[in-house]
Amino acid sequence: MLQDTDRITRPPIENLDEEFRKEALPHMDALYNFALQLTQDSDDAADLLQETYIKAYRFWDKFEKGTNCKAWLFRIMKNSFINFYRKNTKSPEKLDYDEIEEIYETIKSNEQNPHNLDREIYDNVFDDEVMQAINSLPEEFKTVLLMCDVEGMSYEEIADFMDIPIGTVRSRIHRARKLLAVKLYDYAKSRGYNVDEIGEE
Amino acid sequence: MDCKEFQEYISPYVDNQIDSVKKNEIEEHLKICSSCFFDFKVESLAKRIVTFRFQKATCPEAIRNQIIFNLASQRSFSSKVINYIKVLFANKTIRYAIAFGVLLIGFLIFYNPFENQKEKYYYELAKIVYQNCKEIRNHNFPEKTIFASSHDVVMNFISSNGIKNPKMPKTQWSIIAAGIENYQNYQAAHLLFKCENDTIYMMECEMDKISHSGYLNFVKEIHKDLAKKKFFKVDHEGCSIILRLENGVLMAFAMSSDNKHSMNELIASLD
Repeated sequence: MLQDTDRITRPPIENLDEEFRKEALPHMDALYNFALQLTQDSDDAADLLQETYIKAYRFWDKFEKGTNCKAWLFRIMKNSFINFYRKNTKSPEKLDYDEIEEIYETIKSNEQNPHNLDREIYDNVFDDEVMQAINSLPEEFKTVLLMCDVEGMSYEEIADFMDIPIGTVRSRIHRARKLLAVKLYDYAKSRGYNVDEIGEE
Repeated sequence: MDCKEFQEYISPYVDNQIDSVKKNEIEEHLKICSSCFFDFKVESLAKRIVTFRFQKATCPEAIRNQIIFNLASQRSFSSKVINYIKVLFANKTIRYAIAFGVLLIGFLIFYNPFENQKEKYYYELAKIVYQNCKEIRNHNFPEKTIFASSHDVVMNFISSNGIKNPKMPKTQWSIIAAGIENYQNYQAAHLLFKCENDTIYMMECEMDKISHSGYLNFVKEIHKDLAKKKFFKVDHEGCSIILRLENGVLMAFAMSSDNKHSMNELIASLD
């Protein structure tokens, strides 16, 4: 179908506003990623991405030139998602953070050498396990963490984007990382990696 | 800095989003507290894993193309028009010209000076005819004489006398008045004639059923007849004419200005 439209009439990309092309289009990969994170489904992600860009283009004159275009696009996507897609997604799993904190403290008391823990987990956990661990985080933690570590947004931008106080951003990132560490430690252990042995080396 | 405060600033420290004073305090604390150092290492590890091991999906080419296609299509319709209007309105002169044009059109729609002038003219005309009719009515006229001062009067006369396209009576008759009626799109020649028994008939002939020259001949014939009679004009311009006939009958005609030319001709020939 795409090829058909290609052949018949394809409006040239030059039709697009030049600034929009330069400012907004380069963020398509990042936005697609974010859409995948939000929807957990590639078809929904494509729809959400499309809707985001059409809205952005329609309101392009509302965008304050010189401000962070990426953050602006992310906000449009988040709002679109809240409006149209949320009802289709699973509610984030409930999480007992105190329990995680307890597990974390146990690990901490078992692991004497943090340098080893760092190296072994980083090297020995598979990529798909990393993805699985990240995806298992509650949505509000996952979003903040990805904004920060993957998209490289500042705390201020995230606070602005999520519409939460900067202190909340700080604590969410902190908690998200602890959660992630506990999960990755579990993976490492379940794959037979003996943390204790390495710690004694 | 104590451990509690350290926990608060550990994330901004790892993310390098902290001022230099706090950074120094944290680094001092890290040297002396192994528990917090452990937390720091774990937090750094988590960040490194997310940053470097998170597999970023790239937007599939088909989706990317489809989006750009849709955006560019949007552009070629609504946005282009809006943009064009925007550019047009950006120019001050054009903006004022458009505003003036809109105002002018609005003015012409709601207050048509030409229409008004015409209305005014007809109003004046009607006034004259009305005054004359009043004068006419004070005279003693033979029965069934009509005052063809308006279309309605003519129509009333026709209906009240049951006359429709009357045929010329074969008895003796004389023309008492003639004129042109112009009512909206309807144009007709009128002829009033009196029979021996003093009954007055009216003949109405639609303009489009006779040629213009034929009509003029028709009028001329009548004029010849009318020329023998005395008459006076009330209003040349307004094509309103009152004829005083031999027997003292007054006939009033009101015509619209559309027939001014032929009416003026009529008047000139009568003079």
